[in-house]
Amino acid sequence: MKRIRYAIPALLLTVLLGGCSGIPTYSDTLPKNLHVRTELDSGSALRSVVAEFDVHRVNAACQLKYEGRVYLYDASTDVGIPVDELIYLDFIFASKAFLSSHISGTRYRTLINPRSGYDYQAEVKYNKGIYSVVIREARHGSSNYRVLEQRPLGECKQTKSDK
Amino acid sequence: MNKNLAIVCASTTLLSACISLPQTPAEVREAGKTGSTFFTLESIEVQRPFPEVARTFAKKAPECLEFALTSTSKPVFGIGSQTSTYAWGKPTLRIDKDKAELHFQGKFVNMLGKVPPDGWYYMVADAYPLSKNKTKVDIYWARAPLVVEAVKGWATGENLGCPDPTQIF
Repeated sequence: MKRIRYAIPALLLTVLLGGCSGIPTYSDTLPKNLHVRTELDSGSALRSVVAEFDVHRVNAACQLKYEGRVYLYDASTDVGIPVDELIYLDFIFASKAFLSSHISGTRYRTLINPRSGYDYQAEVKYNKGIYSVVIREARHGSSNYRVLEQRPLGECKQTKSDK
Repeated sequence: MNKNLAIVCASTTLLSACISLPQTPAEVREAGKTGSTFFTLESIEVQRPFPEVARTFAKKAPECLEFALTSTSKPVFGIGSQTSTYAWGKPTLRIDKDKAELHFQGKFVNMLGKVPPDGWYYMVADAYPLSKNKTKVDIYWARAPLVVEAVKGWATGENLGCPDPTQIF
């Protein structure tokens, strides 16, 4: 299936305003099983970049239920995400030039099926205009992580578990 | 539409009126070799077998270089918003036993001049084996250094990130 990625439109109130935007913060009450490491470098003192991700639950009809946004202010963030069900993560990189009101953004979206008894790592990087998100899975207590390939939402119809 | 993109569109339009910009990958290569119409040739050799490099190109090109850029504006007072698509990126990949070609084109609304069907060529990268474990990549490019940076990372395997589409043009 052809993949088209859409950049976030320029908005006046955007991710940089965080809590003022009306976007609910993810209610992080579950046991921490997703460990996010974030490295951001816009490459210019005149440009700032931020990263965050939205958590969606996916129901049997492959419809999304928005659970909230996690802001990646720190280099390391631990989050609890639901297990044994399909989750859709939507990572957002937003950048803005100094004194400009225009905000640019790009997204990395993927389905995952977090399993109980497993830990997940996400490396979220933006380095001088090159971005990447790598998600890995390992059995709890093990350091033998395997990379989870990016899966579009369209795959929801085909399978609901990644083995 | 951001200011940089507007400048790129305007300059490309003006250039296309005065200079014949490359219309095909072959013309891009010729321009890169001679340094005409702002194209440059950059070559790298990577310590990776050619099949691996080709596989990485095949995976990353559609993932990273196929996109549409949209812009939304909202009034300071009042409600509503307007969203429009203003640019597209399109990769083309051709892989043979001994060569992999990766082309990248960009298309904008209201383009003027003689434009190839999927937009202006910004990059043509040719990868071919030098030996069992070594591959050479010739990159002919103009005005898209981020794409070149990403392609070099894919070729070496050291950086599989995508160029931020909003910063490419």
